[in-house]
Parts: sequence; structure tokens; C-alpha cells
Amino acid sequence: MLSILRKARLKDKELRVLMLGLDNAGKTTIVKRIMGEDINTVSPTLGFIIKTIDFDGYKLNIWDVGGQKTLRSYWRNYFEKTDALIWVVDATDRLRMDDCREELAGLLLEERLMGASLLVLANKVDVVGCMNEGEIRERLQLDAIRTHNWTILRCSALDGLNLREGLSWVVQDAKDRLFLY
Amino acid sequence: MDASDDRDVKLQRASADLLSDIERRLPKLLRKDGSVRQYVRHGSLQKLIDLLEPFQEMPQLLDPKLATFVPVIVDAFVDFLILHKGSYPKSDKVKNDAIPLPRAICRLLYVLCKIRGEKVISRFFDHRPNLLEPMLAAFEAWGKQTRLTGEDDSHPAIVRLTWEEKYIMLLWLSQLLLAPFDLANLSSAVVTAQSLEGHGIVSFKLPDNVPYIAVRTLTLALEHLPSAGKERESAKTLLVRLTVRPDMNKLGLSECVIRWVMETLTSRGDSSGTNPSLYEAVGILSFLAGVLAAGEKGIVSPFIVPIYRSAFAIATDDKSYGYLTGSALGKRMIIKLLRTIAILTLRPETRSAGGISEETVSSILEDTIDYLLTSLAAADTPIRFAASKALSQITLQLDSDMAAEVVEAILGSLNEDVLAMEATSSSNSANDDLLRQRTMRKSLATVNPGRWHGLVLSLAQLLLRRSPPQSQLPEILKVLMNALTFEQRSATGVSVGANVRDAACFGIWAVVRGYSTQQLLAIDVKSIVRSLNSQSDMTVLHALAIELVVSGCLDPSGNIRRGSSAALQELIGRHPDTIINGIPLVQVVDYHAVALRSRALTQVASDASRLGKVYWEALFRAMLDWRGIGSPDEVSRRMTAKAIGLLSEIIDGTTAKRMFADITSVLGALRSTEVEERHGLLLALASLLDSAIWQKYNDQNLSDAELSSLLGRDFPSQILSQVSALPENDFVAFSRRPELTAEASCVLVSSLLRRCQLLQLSLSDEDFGACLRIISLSLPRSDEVTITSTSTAARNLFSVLNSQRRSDLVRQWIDLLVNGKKSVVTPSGHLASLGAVFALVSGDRGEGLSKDQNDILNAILSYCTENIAVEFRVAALQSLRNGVIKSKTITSAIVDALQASLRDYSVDQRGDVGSWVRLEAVDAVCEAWKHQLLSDAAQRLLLPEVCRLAGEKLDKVRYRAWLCLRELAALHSSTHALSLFNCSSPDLAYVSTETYFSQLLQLLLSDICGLRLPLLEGIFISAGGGYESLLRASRNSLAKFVYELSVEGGGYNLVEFCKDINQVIKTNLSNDRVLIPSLDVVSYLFDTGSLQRASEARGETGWRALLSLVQKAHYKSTNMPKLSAAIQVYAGLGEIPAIKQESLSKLLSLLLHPFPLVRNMAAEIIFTTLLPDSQVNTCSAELQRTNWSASPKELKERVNKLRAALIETR
Repeated sequence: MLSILRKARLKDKELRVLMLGLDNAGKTTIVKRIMGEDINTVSPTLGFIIKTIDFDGYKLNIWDVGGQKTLRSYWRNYFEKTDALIWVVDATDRLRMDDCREELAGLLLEERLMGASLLVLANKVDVVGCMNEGEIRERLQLDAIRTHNWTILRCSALDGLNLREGLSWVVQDAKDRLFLY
Repeated sequence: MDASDDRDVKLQRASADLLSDIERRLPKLLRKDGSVRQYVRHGSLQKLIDLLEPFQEMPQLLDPKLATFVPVIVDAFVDFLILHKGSYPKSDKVKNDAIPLPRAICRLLYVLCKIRGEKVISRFFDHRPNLLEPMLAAFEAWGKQTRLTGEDDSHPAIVRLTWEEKYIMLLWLSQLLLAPFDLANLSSAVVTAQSLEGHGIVSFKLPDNVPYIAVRTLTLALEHLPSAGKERESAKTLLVRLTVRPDMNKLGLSECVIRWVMETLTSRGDSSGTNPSLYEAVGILSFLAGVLAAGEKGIVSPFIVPIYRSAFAIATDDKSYGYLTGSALGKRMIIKLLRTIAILTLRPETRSAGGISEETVSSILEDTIDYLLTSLAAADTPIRFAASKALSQITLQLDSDMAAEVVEAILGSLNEDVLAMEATSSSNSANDDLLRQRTMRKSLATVNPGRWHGLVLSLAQLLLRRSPPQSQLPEILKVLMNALTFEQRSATGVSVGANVRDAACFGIWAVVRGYSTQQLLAIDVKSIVRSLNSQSDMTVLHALAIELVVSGCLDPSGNIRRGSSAALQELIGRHPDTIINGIPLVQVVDYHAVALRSRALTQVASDASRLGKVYWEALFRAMLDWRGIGSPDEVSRRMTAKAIGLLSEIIDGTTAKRMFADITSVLGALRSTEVEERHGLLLALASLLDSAIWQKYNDQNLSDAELSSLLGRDFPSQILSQVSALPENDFVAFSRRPELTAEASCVLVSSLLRRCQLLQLSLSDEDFGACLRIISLSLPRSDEVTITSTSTAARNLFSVLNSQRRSDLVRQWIDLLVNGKKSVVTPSGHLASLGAVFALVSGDRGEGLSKDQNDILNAILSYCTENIAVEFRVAALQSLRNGVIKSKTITSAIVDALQASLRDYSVDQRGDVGSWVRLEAVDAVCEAWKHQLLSDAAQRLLLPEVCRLAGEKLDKVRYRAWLCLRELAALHSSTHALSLFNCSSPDLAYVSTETYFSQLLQLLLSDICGLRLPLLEGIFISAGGGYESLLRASRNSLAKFVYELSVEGGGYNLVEFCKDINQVIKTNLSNDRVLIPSLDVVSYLFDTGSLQRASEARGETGWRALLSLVQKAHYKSTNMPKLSAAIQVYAGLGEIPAIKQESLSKLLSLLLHPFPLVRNMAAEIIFTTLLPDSQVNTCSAELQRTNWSASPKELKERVNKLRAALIETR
């Protein structure tokens, strides 16, 4: 059963992507924007929502996990494990950057997320006065991350800036690691 | 039962190290100073393979490095090939562990292919077309004349290429055939039909102008196509590649090959006809499938129909092809071939190219699908997998109407053999529900579980690809939900059907993933859920979620629990806000939480049921079924009972009352042979009685009316009626598993009695009678679980009985024990129960022991004597510990019994059975210490014994004794000698270490009197007779200890130690168990030179005493180990100047001992150690030359001569 599924996943080029971040970072809005849904009706996500996005011939199963929930349950399950992490940061929220750093660091320690690559999305860059990429990078101490392959992108869920680029990074990374042959 | 830990996570962590290790080793293995080796060491090859094997679980991890690894291996092979293509490496000095390089490389490549798949690996093979010729040549040359003389000299038989070599080389060849140029350009010669004769394929008519190289390839491929090993597969690939080459097709070779294999396959039609062998047929079938799949339509389409005809004929003709269709391999190939054909014919372009009519297509499809549906029932799992895969692939190609028909057919097959068993009653009460549940399962009792697995798996595969239309979902979901709880018991009681549930889980996961919330919500739930009562707001999603929660908590198989948990996540994540408390539910039924069955069953189930009444209901209902109290193993049943107790804590009293009713009604419906279910249900009742929900009613002095409103009228009798009517046979007859009934009934009785006591509920005489009957019936059982439950029941019964009845009962049981020693077959139960009630018959307080207690004590102690069987002595000691000592009673008689038991060294054919007694006694002593019951006098008696056990050679005895000493140490201040034991952590391995023994030896320095000799005795036993590592540890620490002792003065010194040695030997002169190891240890200490240090200080008398003790020890003995130990000691004593002469003379007299072995030993000792310098020359020659095995009479003169020479030198 499991082997059937593993093969099918490889063949269908499916990826499991966990979308995480503090609450109000804009995770659900990002997902909705990518899916082309109405982004004006977003309310805080309680728990999580799974959506499938077809991108570049790959099927991304995005697990959009609410910012305020304990996360352990979603890290992996019987059928699939996590291939990529998207960590969404609210680039306007300077106050909670320390929280954000701690959460992220704790997450990366988890051995069940080993082998997943990390995309940090600095959301809400359309807002004037937000932090720039370098500042976020520094405050999250991204350069200290050795365990995961990572990158950071500025993005905006409102105008869709860099969202596709983010996904293509995820897919490209997966191509390099998972679907070599 | 419990899901395994995540190996893949560990692998992922280790993979980087493994990979770099492989990268490092690989070049070294293959090359030396840049050039390829001829031979590699078997060990290093194996090491490399061992490094690769772990990746089998997660082949993707290898991917990044494949581009490095495989070319390295491949290049080495090519280099080797160029060098040695003419002949296989030969060498006269081949060592045994050397393997020729090609063999090693092929084995490595095979392992890689196995892990990552041959398609991926073969991509890295060297593609240069100019390799084709050398490779072919090498294969031909090596295959013919590989003779390895070194490998086995006695049989210089031809060593053929191993299957790995053939497999890899054929695979490589097939890769090389992808070369885009015409083979004619590569080949130097062209053959006509004649030149093929020499190649052994006689029946082959080749077209003209075939390049020679193609003929050679063809020959090789056809030669290996019928082989039984893995090389068949690559031969097939090779043949396929050759056949589908455009140039070969142009020449007419392709057609020729296909015709030929078809003829071979169906050759039984000929008059000469012999069937092809199984493997030949399999090879041909797989070749055909390969050609059809790979070939261009122009090449293959004319053959589709003929191939189909013969394939189908074979598939359905069991008479002639039974050997083929009966084998899993053959059948899988047939399925694969039929699948390929069916899918091909569905493509319009093939249809037109092959000129296949619509009617033919539909008949092909119909027959194939029908065949696949029947194959789904096959007994072999691989066939079912293949058939379900084929079915789903074909269905995906069909248009929607026909696809729906296939699904219809699958659903139809699922309904076959389902027994029509409708629940008779139409009312909707919970009990009927339960009964319906059971009926439901029974109605599936005759379906074929394999077939169900195949069918459900096909459904799941179709669902994963979203093939079935929405209109069919209700039926499908109904099936999936049934399949999720599918289980059958085989005739031997083994549970069957986990694969069906697994497939169902997969199916549900696929459904919730593939269909939208609207689609699923639109389904009428009442058509699916059989017994939906009032809740009309239930949705399909919700019904599914409930089933998944139940499976996630209760399924016996860990993978299904995890699968359910995953499906639940998917369900709730994909369809947000449709499930009550969905998010918390996902978090409770977590991947990790459900891994352990005990946790899933108790904690997870109870947490989940807190999240909604629906979950509670479903879980409780399911617990009463096969996944709970009907489990085949008693551990799960006990766990379920506990879980039911936990469930009851969540709800209110009324529902709890209903739980009683539900359980009793299921109990009532049981047949008398369903002993296991009864065991589970009775335990569940007991667990309900123990439940904390009654807590608040305790000690409230509820009136009878209130009580009966709370629990129902005549509550105790109601409960007891479940067990009181059980026939005596159920407690006795072996076939009825009496231990289960006894355990469960006793547990129920104790729970009931305790609950009644707490609620201050009075019991009628009849109730007491019933309780007593159960206990009496259970007492004769001898297994541990029953004894525990019986004695608990007895204690609980006593606590509600009045003193007169208590006395009577005690008297009755003692009577059985004491006077009926012969009639009571196993007194263990009685002993335990008497112990358990000991505290409850104390009579007036503060007056010492009552008469009953004295009697009990005497009865138990009478079982601690040596004429009682060991098992019962153990039982008596347990009873003493659990009953008597725990209630803080100790008497001198008990101390005596304990002391005697600590010295129990009974041995029978089972070995050291006394150790059981010693263990129990140690535990009892420990208990007494805990309660600080022992007087100084008693302590003086017992402590040395425990110390002795702390040194003895059985690990577990030493361990428990050590724990006991720790316990004692904990009671004393840190200055006490025993406080040494406080520091280390308890660990069984620790008591076999040097540190442990050193610590133990430190006790010798303490001033606790009477402790030294027993302690030494214990350690001597370990150091003289323990197993190898223990021997080493104890000897090392002993030697070190003795070495560090000062010779004289200052507390315990070497002289004292020597005195102690004498004492130990003296007291054990008649006890070989201690004596021989002690002698061994003494000689060892002489060997280390430590005892010699005291040669002056000890004084002549001391040494002489030892000498005479040794003499006494072996006097007239015929025990060889003892004699040899004694001789060794003499050797040591000979190094003490004061008694050197005596020892020597003793040894000289042993030269005339009746045993030749003894004489030889003595001679050897004298020769090696005891000759004075002045006599070395004369005597050593004498000693050497003499044959000491000759008879003593002949030797006498020589010995006298020696004696004269040696003794007079004084």
C-alpha cells in the first residue's frame, strides 16, 4: 500500500508543502492568491486547510496551517512526509520578529522535517515602511541555518509579487533533490 | 501490533555519513594505483553492499550521488573489459576471499538496481556503441570457459558466470542497443541462415542479411530468456530492444522473432509438442508485453490480435497451462500482457494501424476485465496487486460510461457471498445496534478476504485518479466503510483482513482528497450508514470521520491506525468546517499518538471521545466488537477493558448505567464457547465498576432508593448473575481456557466487592455465596495472573465478611493446605490468598498475632521446607512477602525460613531451580527491610546471606540481591559501609562489571561482623565458576583488591584475608559447589603473585593449615576438576618457602595417583615451577622422559628416585 503510494507520488510528481508562520502573517491569503480565489474574505485560519496547486507539471499539496495551533500533528503522516516548508513572515511586524525567530528555530530542530527545504516569504512588502530582505534575514538569523536548504523572497499576497517565483523555487529545489530521475 | 519506529528518519540522518563512506571506499575497492584490480576482497565488497542496503527504504536519498557512484563502477568495468575480454581472469593463487572484479562489480550494480530500479541505473552505463562488440565478445568468451582453478581445487569444474554478471551484462547490452546507427554499420560480417546453426538455435529461420552482431545478440538473449534467475528479465529487455529496432524490423527480424516465440509458446498444439518450461513461458510473455509496450505501432499492431488470442487462451486453459497460470509469476505476466493489449487496443491509432474492428476491441476488453476481476481473488498478493493495477489502468482509459460499468462490476463482486442476515428487530435501540454490528460481521464471514482486498484496492486506485463518477460514490463509500472494519478469523483463530482495511483506508483517503466538499456533502448519508438513528444532521463526511477516528484508535494494526489518522487529516484539511471539533480531533488522533496500540486504545480514544458524543458512542460501540473485547489476545482485551473504564469517566451516571446494560446484553448473547469475548466483557464490567465516575457517591450513605435509581435494582446480584451461573466446567476444562474465565470472574468479583464497600451497599447471603463460589473455583489455578486476581478477590471478600466467617474460611483453606497436601494439586492459589487475607484476620488490635494469623503463618511456613516442590516454595515465599511481611509482621520463624531459603541451592533436571527460591527470598528480605521490621539479630542472620548472593554467579540473583542491599543502604546514614551502593543506577548489566565487584569487595573492609566469609564465598563462586566475562570481571577486581591490601596491620590486611580463605575452604570441605571454585580462585591468586606477598607474615602454621585443608579437600576424591584445582594450589603453595618441601612431597606422591591425568599434571607442575635450581638438569630430564601414563607400579621406582633427589636437597 505504502509502496504503491510512494510510486504514485513520484510518478505524479506530488509534493507536500507545509505553510507555516505566526498568525496574521498572511499564509491563507497567499494560498488564495495563488489559487486565484477571492482574497477579501480571509479570516484567521483555525487549524489547517489543504489545497492542491498544479504548478509547472507538479502537484503541490499545500498544508496551510493556522498560526496559533500546535503543529506537531501536521509534520508528517502515514502517507506522506513534508517535502518543503514555506515560512511566511509579516514584514511589517517588527515587534514579533523575536517570536518569529524562536518559532522557526524550534521548527527546524524537528527531525521529522529533516530533508525539507525552507522558503522564507517576507509578506506584505507592498506596505510602505516594511522591513527589507536583509533586515529579516538578519533578525531571523537565517544565515545560521545549516540543516536545511533555504532561501528568502520578498512577496506580496495583495499584488501577487514573487508568489510564482517562490513556488518555482520550491519546485526547482524538489527537481534537484527528489525527482532527479 | 504496535507500529514500528520511524526508520526512515534515522536513515535520513545517517545518510550523509553513509554516502561519504561509500564514496571513499568505492575507488579503493575497484582500483589500485589507478589501474583496475583483477580481484577484490570479499569482505570489502560486502562492507560496501552493507552500506548501500539501508537505502532500500528511501532510494531517493541515493539520487544525488548516483551520478558519481555508477560511472566509477562502470568505468572500472569497461577498463577491465578492454583488458580481459578474451578470457575470464584466471589465477593460480586466488585466495578464498577474493572475487574476480567483474563479479564484484556486477554484484554492486545489481544491488544498486535493486535499490533504485534498473531503469535509473542503466542510464549511467557507458553508451559508446563501440562497446557493443567487446561486451558481446566478453560475454561469449567468459560464459564458455570460465574456469577458476583456485576457487575449489578438488572440483575443477567450469565456473559459470554468476546470475548477477549475466543480469548486468545483458542489461548493459540492451542499453547499448539503443545506439541510433544501424547495427550493420557496427558489424563486420553479415550472416545467412546457415551460419546460425552453430549457435544452437536450430528452429530458427532467419531472414537474409542480418548483421552478425544482431545474431550474436539474439543468441544470447534467447539463451537466457528461459532461465529461472533474474537474468531472464534483462534478457527480455535485450530481446525487446533488439526486436523494436527499426533496422531489424526493416530486415524482417522483428516479425521473425515474434512469430517464433509465439510458436514456442503455443507449441503444445504440435504433434511433437512439449510445453515450454515455466520460466521460458514467463520470459516469452514478458517479452511480448515489452514489445507491445515499446514497439512502434507499425511494428506491433499486426500482432496484437494473435498475441491476445494465444495469451487469453493460455490464461483460461488451466488444463494445459495450469503450471503457468498456477504460479504467481506466470499469472502476473499474463495479467501484464493482457493489460498492455487492452490499453493498446483502446488507442484509436493502434486500432486503425492493426485493422482491429470495434467488435474485437470490445470483446478483448470484456474478456480482459472479466479475467482481471476473477484474478483479484487470487491467493497471492502480488497477483492481486497486478490485477488491481491493471484494472484501474484500463478503466482510466475507458470512456465514462464503460468506466462506470467496471466500477459497477467491482461493487457487484463485493456483494457476492455476503450472507443475507438482516437484523430481525426493527427498533432502533442501542442494543440492537450492537447486535447488528455483530450480524454485519458475520454476514461477511464467508467472503474471500483476498478477493475483497483486490476489489477494494482497485476501487481505491480508481478513486485516487478520480475515475468513478459522483453518482457511484454512495455505493463505493458504503463498501469502503464496511471494508474499514473488515475482519475474519481463520480456523486457528488468527485474524485475517488487515490488508482489506488498509486498502479501505487508502480508498477513503483518496476519496476525501479527490472530491470536492460539495460533491461529498450532496450524498445522502442514510444510504450509506446502516443504522443511522435520529441524527439527521449527520453528513457523509462526518460519518467517515467517525469511522476513521474509531479505526485510528482501535485497529490492531499500527499501519492502519496511522493510515486512518492520515485520512482523517486529509478529510478535515480538505473540507474545513464540516466536522465537529475537527481540528482538535486531528491533533488527538495524531500520527505519533496512535503508533502504540496501548496508547491509542486508552488515551487517544478517551481524548477523542471527549470531543463529541458521536465519537464516544462510536468508540464505545466498536470497543465491544472484535477490535476491542473480541481481540484474539488477552493483553488487548485487558487494555480494552481499561479503555472502557476510561470512557465511562467522561459521561454521566445515566449513560454509565446504559453502558452496564449494553455490556450485559452482549454478554447475554454470547455462546458458551465464546470464552475470549466473555473474558473481555467481564473485565470491561469490572473496569466500569472501578471507574472514577462513582467516586462522588462514596460514603454518602445513599438510601436504597437512591442507589437503585443510580445503579438499578439489585445491582450486585445483577452483576453477579453474569458469573454465578457459569458452569464449573468453565473453570476446569482445558478446552474452555479456564484461566481466562477464572481471571475475569475474580477481577469482576473484586471490583464489585470494592465498589459495594465504598458505596456502603450491603450484599445478600446469596451474593456472598456466589462470590465465594467463584473464588473457590479459581483457587486451584496456578498461573500468575489468575493467582493475583484470585487473591485480590479474596482480600476484598474478607474485608466485607464478618470475623466469624473469615475465621471459618481461613480454617477451611488451611485445612486444605495442611491436611490435604496430596489432594490440592497446586496450592499456589490458596497460599497467595491466605497471605492476602493475613492482615484482615488480625483479631483484636495490638495483641500480637491472632490465632488465625498464627495458623496461616504456620501453614505458609510449612510450605517453605525442602520436601515441598520448588514452585510451591516460591509461592509460599511470595505469599509471605505480599501478605505477611507487607502487613508488617515478622517472626523468628519467618526469619529462619528466609535464611534457609536464601541458601536454597536445589538442583534438578531443569538446573538451578533453587535460584527461584533464592530470588523470592531476597525480595522478601528486601520487603522486610523496607518496613524496617528486622531486629539486629535477624539482620545479623540475613545480611551475610544477601551479601553472598550479591556475589554469586547467576546474574539475576546478583542483581536482586544488589537491589536489596541498595534498599538497605538507603535506610542507613551515609557513613555506613553499605552506602557505597547508593551511587550507581540500577541496571542488570552493571552487576557483571568490575566496578561492581570492586564495590562489593570494599564491604570486606567494613566492620559488619559475619559478613566477610559469606561474601568471599559468593565472590569465589563467580570468580571460580562463572561464565567467561563474569569470571574475568570478578577475578580482575579480586586480584586488584588483594594486591592493594597491606600485608599486615591497619584493619583488614592480607593475613586476615588468608585466614578467611582457610576458613571458607574449611567450612565448605564437603560442599563441592563452593570448594572447587574457591580452590580455583586461590590458585589464581597465587598465579597473580599476590598471596606470596604474605609468605612471611602469615607464618608457617597458617600455610600448613591451608596445605592440610587442600589435602583433605581432595582426599580420596575422584572428582577431576577438584583434583586439578588442588594440584594448582599445591603449585602455588610450593612458592611459599616455609612449606615448599611439603608441597613438593605432596605433588611427588601424586605422581603415583591412580589417575594418569593427575600424574601427568603433577609431573608438569613439578617440572615447570617447583624444581630447585640445583636439580634442574638431572630431574627435568627424568620428568620429561618418563611416560606418566604408565601404570603406577612401574613408576614407583622413578618417583622414589626423584623424591630422594628433591627432598634431600633441603
